[in-house]
Amino acid sequence: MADSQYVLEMDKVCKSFPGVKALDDVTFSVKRGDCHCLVGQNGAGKSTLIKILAGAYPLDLGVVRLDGRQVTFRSPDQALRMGISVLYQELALNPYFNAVENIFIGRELSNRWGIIDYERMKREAADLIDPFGVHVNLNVPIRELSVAQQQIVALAKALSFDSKVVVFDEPSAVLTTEELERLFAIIMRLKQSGVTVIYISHRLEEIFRIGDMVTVLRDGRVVGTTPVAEVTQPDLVRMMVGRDVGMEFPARKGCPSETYLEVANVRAPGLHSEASLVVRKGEILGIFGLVGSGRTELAHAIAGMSRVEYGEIRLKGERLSIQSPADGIRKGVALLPENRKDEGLVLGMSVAENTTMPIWRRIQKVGLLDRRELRCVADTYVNKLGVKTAGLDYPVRNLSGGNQQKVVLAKWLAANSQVLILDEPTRGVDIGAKMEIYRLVVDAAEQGLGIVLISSELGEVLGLADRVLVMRAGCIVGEFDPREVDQETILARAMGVA
Amino acid sequence: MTHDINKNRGGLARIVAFVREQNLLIILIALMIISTIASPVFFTVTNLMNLARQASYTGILSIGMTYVALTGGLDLSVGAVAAFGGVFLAYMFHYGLYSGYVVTLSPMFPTPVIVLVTLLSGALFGAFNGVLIAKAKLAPFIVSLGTMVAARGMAYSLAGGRTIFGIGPSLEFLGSGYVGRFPVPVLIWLGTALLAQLVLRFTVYGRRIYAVGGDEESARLSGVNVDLYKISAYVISGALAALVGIMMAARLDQGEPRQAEGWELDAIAATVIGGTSLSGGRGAITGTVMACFVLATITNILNLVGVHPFPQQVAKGAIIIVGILMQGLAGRRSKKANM
Repeated sequence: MADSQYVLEMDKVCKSFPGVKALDDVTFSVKRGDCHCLVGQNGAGKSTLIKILAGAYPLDLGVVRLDGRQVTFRSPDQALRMGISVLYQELALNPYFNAVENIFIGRELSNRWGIIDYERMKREAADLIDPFGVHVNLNVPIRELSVAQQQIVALAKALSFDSKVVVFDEPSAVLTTEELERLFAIIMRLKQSGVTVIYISHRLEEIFRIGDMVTVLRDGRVVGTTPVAEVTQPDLVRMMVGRDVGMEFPARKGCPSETYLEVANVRAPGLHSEASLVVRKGEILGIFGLVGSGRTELAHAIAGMSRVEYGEIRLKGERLSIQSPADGIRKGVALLPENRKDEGLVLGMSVAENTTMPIWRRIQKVGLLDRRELRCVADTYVNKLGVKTAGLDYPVRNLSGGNQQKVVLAKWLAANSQVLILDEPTRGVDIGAKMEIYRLVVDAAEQGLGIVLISSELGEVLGLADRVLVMRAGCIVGEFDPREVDQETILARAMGVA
Repeated sequence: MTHDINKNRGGLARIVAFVREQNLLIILIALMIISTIASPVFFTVTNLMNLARQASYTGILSIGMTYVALTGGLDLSVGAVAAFGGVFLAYMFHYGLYSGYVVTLSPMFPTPVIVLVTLLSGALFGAFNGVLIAKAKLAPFIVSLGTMVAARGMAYSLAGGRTIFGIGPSLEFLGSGYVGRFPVPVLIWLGTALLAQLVLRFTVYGRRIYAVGGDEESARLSGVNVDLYKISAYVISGALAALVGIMMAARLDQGEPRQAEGWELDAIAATVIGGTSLSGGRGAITGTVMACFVLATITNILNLVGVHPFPQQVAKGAIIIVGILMQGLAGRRSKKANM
C-alpha cells in the first residue's frame, strides 16, 4: 500500500470553537521515522491540531489515520495507548510527586499485591533521564526542580511510553543551548529507532537543524508542506505571514502629544532585562512578542499585578509606586487582562455591575449602591461601546466573547482611566467583533488616553499602533515605526532570526 | 526525601529543619510535659489509656477524612453515618432478639454478619457521596452535607426517635475490652491507621490517591481512572464511619441516634492540623494521628485541671486555629525556600 509510508495522516480536519474556526480543512501527513516540523504564528492552529492528535479535543469533521487505520480518540489516555505521546507546552506533571512517581503515574510498577516496587521504578526512571546528561534529583518533589529539569522529566515520561509518534510542543522555550543539543541528540536517536517526531517551535533555526519536512499553518489552514532542505528561513517567515486578509484598520487622526506613562529601567519577575518605555497621550504603543516573550509579564508589572523589583513608573511626570491593581486603578492605569473570563469579569454578575465595579466607591451613598446612578452610568457606556446585550441586568456569562471584551473596556472607560493596557484584546473574538474593538481602541486613543496594545497578532499591532516594541525572551529587542516596517522584519526579530 | 538536602547542612540548620517538619510532634511533646506538670494524674497509664480511647473514635473518622482530603474532597457525613451505623447495628440485634434468635452468634443471624452489613451500609453512604462528587461533579461540601442530614434522619427514623437499648454481650470486647493494658478501640484505631498509612505509602492504590489529588489533570492524562479513586476514598470514609458507629454502640450497649454529633468537624480539624491539605495531594495519616493526640490531650488536661466545658470549647477552637496557622506558615516557608 502506498499509504503505509505515512504513520499518521489527518484528512480534511475541521475544528471550530464558538466564534472561531481553529482548523479549516487541514490535511497533514507524516512519514514514518521523519521529524516533521510544524510552524505558524500564534493562533494559526498548531495547538489545536496537537490537541486533536492527543485526544484532548474531538474533531468536528475529517479523519485521522494511524498506520493507515482510521482512529477516533475519546481521551488522551486512549491516544497514548495507541502510540501517540505529547510533550505539552504547559507541563502535565504532579507538583508534589518526585520525578520517579511522575513518570510512572498510571502504570506504577508493583508486585502482585499492589505494593509499589519503588527501587525498580527509580532504576528505570534513571535510565530514562540519564541520556539527557543532566542531573535531576529524583528524590525531591518536582516543584523543587528548575523548569528545565521539569521539562526533562516530562520528556522522559513522554518517551517512556515507547510511542510510535512523539509530539514536542515548543520544547525549546525553556531549555538552555546545551540542554537543547541533548534534546536534538535524543530526537536523532528516536528517529533512528523508527519513532516519528512532530516538532513545533518558534525558533526556525531549530527546524533547519533537525527537521525533515515542514508544514506551515496560517489562520487554521495549511499553507504548504515542503522538505526542509528546499526552503530557507525567509521563505518560511513569508509563508507564515502571508497576505493580509483584507483587514481594514480604522484611520488615525490625532497625533500623540505629551508623555503620559513613563516606565524607566523596570525589572520584574519574568523579565530578563530592565524594561523602559514611554506612552504619550493619545498614542497607541504596540508590543509584539511570541508566547513566553515576557509581554504579559511586562503588562502585569506596569499594572501592579506583579512586584516591580526596581525601576520607576511615572504618570504625567508624577512618580507612581503601584503595589496592587487597586492602586493602579486609582491612579488611572488599568489592565485589560489576557484572560478576560478569569481576570477581567465577574461572569455571574450583570453587565451593569461589571461595567461599574471600579467606580462603586464613587456611586455609593452611605455604603449603599445607588442603583439608578449605576444603571445610568452603565447605560451610557453600553450604548457608547455598542455592547450587544439582552439588558443591563443580563449576566455577562451569556455574552459573546467580543461583547464580554467590550464590557471590560467599558468598565475602564467608565473608571476614567488614563492609561489602558490591553493584553490580547481580540483573543477568541470573531472577526466582526474584532473590527469593533479596533474602532473602540482607536476612539479611546483619539480621546486622549494612552494605550499599550499587547498582541501576538502582527497585523493588529501594525494596523493600530503608532509605535511597535518587539519582545523576545523577556527583553525588549527593538522599536519600529509600523509605517516603515513589514511584518516579516518584525516576526524575524521576535523569533531571533537574523 | 528531605534527608538528601539535610546532608549538606550544618547541625543547627538540621535541627531547625527538623523542628519545622516535625512541629506537630514537638507540640505534642510540649503539651505532654506541660500537662504532666499541671496535673499529677495526667501521666498515669489509666489516664493516658483513657485519653487514647477517647481519641480513637474521631481518630478513625479522621483516617477516612484524610483519604478523602488527599483526593481534594471533603466528607461532612461521617458523624451522621457513624450514628446511623450504631442504630442500624442495634436494630439488627433487636430484630434478632424478637425473632427468637436470642443467641446472637446463632448461625441464622450471626454477629459477624451484622457487623459486616453495618460496615457495608456505611460504605454505601460513601459510594453515594463519591458518585455524586466524582461523576456528577457536585461540590463535596454540599453533597456530603446533604448525606449528613439524611443519614441522621435515617438513624432517628430507624430508632423511632428513641435509643435502642441492649446489644448483648457478643460485641462487648469490641467496645470495652482490653488487650493487656490497651483498650480495644485504641488498638483498632492505631491498627487501622498503620494499615492506612502503609497503603498510602507503598501501594499503587495509595500513590494514585495522591496523584488524583495533587494534579487531577496530569493523573487523567497519564491514564488514571480519576473518578474511581475519588469514589473509593469516600467509600473508605463511609465504612470507617460505620465502624466507629459499631464501636460506640458496642461500648454503650445501645444504638443512639444522637451519637457523634459534630464529630465530622473534629475529624476535619485533625486532618488539617495533621498537615493534610484540603486541596489534595499532600499529607499523611501519621500527621492526622498525631493531631488527634494533640486535640485529645488538650481536652484531657483541661478536664483534669477542672476547666468548665464551655470555656474548654473556646480554648479548643483557639488551639485548632493556631494549629492550622502553624501548618500554613510552615507550608509557605518551605515553598519560599524552594524558589
